[in-house]
Amino acid sequence: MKMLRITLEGKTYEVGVELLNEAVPAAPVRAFSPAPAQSGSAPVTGAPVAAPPAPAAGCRLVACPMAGLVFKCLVKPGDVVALNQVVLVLDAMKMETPVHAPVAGTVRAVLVKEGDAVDEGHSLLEIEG
Amino acid sequence: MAIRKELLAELRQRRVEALAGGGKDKMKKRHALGLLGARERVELLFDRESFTEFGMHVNHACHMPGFVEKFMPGDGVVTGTGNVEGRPVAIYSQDFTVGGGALGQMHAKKICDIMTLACETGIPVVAINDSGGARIQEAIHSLSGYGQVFYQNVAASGVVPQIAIIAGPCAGGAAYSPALMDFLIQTRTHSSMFICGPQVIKAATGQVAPIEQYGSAEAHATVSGNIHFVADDDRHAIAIARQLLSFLPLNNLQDPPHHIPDEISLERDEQMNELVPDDPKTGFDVTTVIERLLDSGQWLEVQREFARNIVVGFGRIDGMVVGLVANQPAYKAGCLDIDSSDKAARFIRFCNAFNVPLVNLVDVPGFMPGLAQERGGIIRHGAKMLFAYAAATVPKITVIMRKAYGGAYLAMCSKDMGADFIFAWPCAEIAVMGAESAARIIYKREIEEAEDQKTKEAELVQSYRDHFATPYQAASRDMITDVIEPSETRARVAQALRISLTKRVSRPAKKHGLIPL
Repeated sequence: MKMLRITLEGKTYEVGVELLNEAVPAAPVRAFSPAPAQSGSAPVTGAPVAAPPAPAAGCRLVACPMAGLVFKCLVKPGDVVALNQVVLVLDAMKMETPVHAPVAGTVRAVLVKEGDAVDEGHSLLEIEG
Repeated sequence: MAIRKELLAELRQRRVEALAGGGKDKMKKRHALGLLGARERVELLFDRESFTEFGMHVNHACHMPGFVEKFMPGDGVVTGTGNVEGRPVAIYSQDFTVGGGALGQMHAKKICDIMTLACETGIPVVAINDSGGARIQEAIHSLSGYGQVFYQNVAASGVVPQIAIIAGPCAGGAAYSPALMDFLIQTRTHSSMFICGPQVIKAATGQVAPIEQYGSAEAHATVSGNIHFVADDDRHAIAIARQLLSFLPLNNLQDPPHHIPDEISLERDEQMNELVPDDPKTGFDVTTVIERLLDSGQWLEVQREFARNIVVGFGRIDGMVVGLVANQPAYKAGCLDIDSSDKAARFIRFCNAFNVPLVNLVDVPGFMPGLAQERGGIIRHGAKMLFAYAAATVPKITVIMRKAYGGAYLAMCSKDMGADFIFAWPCAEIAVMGAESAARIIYKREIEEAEDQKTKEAELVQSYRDHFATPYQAASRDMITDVIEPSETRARVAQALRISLTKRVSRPAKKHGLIPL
């Protein structure tokens, strides 16, 4: 895996990139944990500014809609999912919030496990559409 | 003696030239792109033949050599009044075929004149923006013209409703006129709104930012929150404006157009009892409740794609116009955060300014926790909701569907914020915080000392929930008007509206309150 550092609008992200046609079991993009904020950086407001780092061609990362705990993961790598199918359930703010597949396709990787604390924008899984 | 024929002929000739705008070729090009002309847009908004044009014979006032001889029909803007469903409305519509719709001195004067008339007569303003920006040849006269338009926008704010349609370019300073108005509608294609173009951003910061990423209807509707409605094309934009006007009074001294039936409807809607899931942790789509609560076909959601954790919009209940504010548990658990607070506070203030009663549907677990929220100023933004509700003197009717926790419960217009009627469903949980967190704090020692901590904790959480996470604690302290079945909601809210439409509140005189912006 190659580690890359990407700076987007003043925020630095460390991104792991792996070639998917190599025959290695995939945890392809362990992406999107912002580096510690530099002093003087602009205050963060509601909406995430940066687009998620590009996954491997044809793949789509499913981003976490809000901070919370992974309550249930309903798919595993290799599963075929339909558009808008519930793939994961978050437990946040006294509520179970379903996360839907943004595309139809095959689950290539599940990047979190049940019980994990995840932040808004965190990549949850990767679907090859 | 009859009027001389030449004079009539000249007038007719001048009219033909003015109505031609930038000419047939330019119109053809627009039509090929699916765009309408400035006058076509006006005609589409108004009832047939109701349009009266102002300043048709205006030409530009630019003295620059080489420009003086040019003819700019109407100076690039069509202004006037007309009727929408029989009710008067003022309009200005920039004509891109005339000098790129650029704003010069006379162009600005025409806009200001029609807005002054709208203010003094008390009729709404619709502004169709389609302009390349300032007419550079007129230098500071153009700049001054923008200033005058902004001043009129502010003078009209809260006096008459102002609706902007962005149906072409709207760049730099020009963007601040629609920004000062109440509702912005932007067409999905061939339109953009921004302060700095991609080249300026690149030169100043090095950032590569295509216009689609920040100036399009899509970007403004979802990320920046600068606009309220996305239209597929010009016709759709006009249709949205007409629908919006159907809910609004002409000015701040009138009531909105209520169509109150003679008979009071007291029907129960049994299906409402089916909508909320039994498990309080399971979300539901609040729009299913809204659809059943409102009269059929009478719902116009505002800022649908922005801060989806709160739903706002206009509707009618038993014929009465209401502004609806509802938590959306299906998105971000329905939490209040920075963007949703801004969205709701702005809507509440519009409703109060124009006498639209507020109906609030509550299922809110709290304010969104997180570093980004705290650093982004959730205190200041969340305070806007408290301020807007407390300052609103229109009828305020709150329905607590399920969760109503902590500060977010107050921010959704509790009795303390001046709600006139509060109805709670039997599944309502009105409490200072969630049962889990509360039990862990209150019974910390009992849990720690227990042999089986998990079982003890579960027991105590359940006991707390049974006692406190119900509507009856609040009901016993007179914080709610009544506990009702969901099936009774429409009838009870309709009755409450009938009673409170005559509400009058007087507060100490002041220039204005200081909403924490």
